[in-house]
Amino acid sequence: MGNPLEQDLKPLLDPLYRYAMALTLSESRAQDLVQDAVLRAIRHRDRFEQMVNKKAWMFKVLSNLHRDSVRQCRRRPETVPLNFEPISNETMADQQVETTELREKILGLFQKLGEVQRQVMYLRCVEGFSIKQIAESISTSENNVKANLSIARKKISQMMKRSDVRIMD
Amino acid sequence: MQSFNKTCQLLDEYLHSTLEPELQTQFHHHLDQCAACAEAVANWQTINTALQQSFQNFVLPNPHQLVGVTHSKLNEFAAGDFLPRLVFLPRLLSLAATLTLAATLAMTWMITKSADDRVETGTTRTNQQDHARSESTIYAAAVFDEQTIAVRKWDDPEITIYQVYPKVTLRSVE
Repeated sequence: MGNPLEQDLKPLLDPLYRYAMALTLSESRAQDLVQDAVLRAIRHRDRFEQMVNKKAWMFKVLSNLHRDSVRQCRRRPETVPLNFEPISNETMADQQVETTELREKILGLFQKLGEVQRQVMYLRCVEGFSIKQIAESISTSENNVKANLSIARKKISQMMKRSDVRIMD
Repeated sequence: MQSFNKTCQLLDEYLHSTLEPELQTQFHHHLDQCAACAEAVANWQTINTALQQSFQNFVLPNPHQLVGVTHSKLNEFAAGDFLPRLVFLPRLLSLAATLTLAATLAMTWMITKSADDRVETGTTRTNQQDHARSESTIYAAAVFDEQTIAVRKWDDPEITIYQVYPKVTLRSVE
C-alpha cells in the first residue's frame, strides 16, 4: 500500500463512481468510466501527481471520457433507473429528509434532468464544487454552469409541483 | 429590499455560504420577511441533503464483487440473453445503396453522353433540300439557340444553317 499514487487515488474512487452514476445512470457504465479514468491517471502519472486539486482533475477526466464515449456511440445512451436502497446510517435520521420515499422521489426527478444539468447539479449540490471548478471540470463557461444550474433547479421545482412531491408540510 | 427573483439568483450562493458577508446578512433579513423565499431555501436545503444522502449509497464495488458481476453478466449472455449486434450491417447497406446510386448515375451519364457525341464529334447526319442523306465533317459551328446551329464543313466554304433535332441529327433549315 506504500504506493503514493494508490494512496491518492483510493479516496477518489467512490466520489468518482457517484459522479459517473449521476452522468450515466448505469452501474456498469459508471464502473467502466471510473476504470478508464483511473487508467488515465496511471498513464499520466506525472501530471496527476503534480495536480494541486487531484479530485477536480479526475472529475474533469471522467467528464471528458464520458463525452467521448457518448460521441462514439452516436446514439443517445439508454438510461436505466438507478438502483435505490434505503440508507441505514443513523446519523442522518435527524436531517430534514425524513423518509426514503422522499429521497427516492427526488432522485427520480434528478434522473429526468438533462445530462449537463445533472452534471452541474451533482457537482454543485453533492460534491460542493464552486462554479469555477464545475466550469473547468466540464470544459464550459461559468455563465453556462450558472444557467444550467438555474434551469435544473427550475425543472426540479416544476416537476415537484407537477408530481405533487411535498417537502414541507 | 430585494425582489423574489433577485433572491432566487442569490439562492445558490446562499445555500453554499459563498455570499459576501454583508449580502448574507441581507439575505437572512429578507428570509425573515418573505415566506416564499424562506420556503424555497428550505426546499432546496432538503433537496441538496436528499441528493447527498442518495448518492452516498453508491459505492464502487470492490474487485471481488466486480469479478462476480462480470461472471454473472457472462452467464446471462451464455443463457441466451445476449444477441450479437450486427454493428456493420447498417454501414454495409448504406455503402451498397451509395454504390448502386453511383452506378446508376454513371450509366445514365454514359448513355446521355453517347447520344451527345453524335452531334459534338463533328460527324453528323444531315438532310439537305434534296433529302439525300450524307455525312460531313464540321469545320466550325456556332449554336444560336437550342434548335439552330451554323455549320461550316471542310468540303464546303458556305455556311449552312441547320436545324438540330434532339441530340441525334442536324437537319438543314433551307
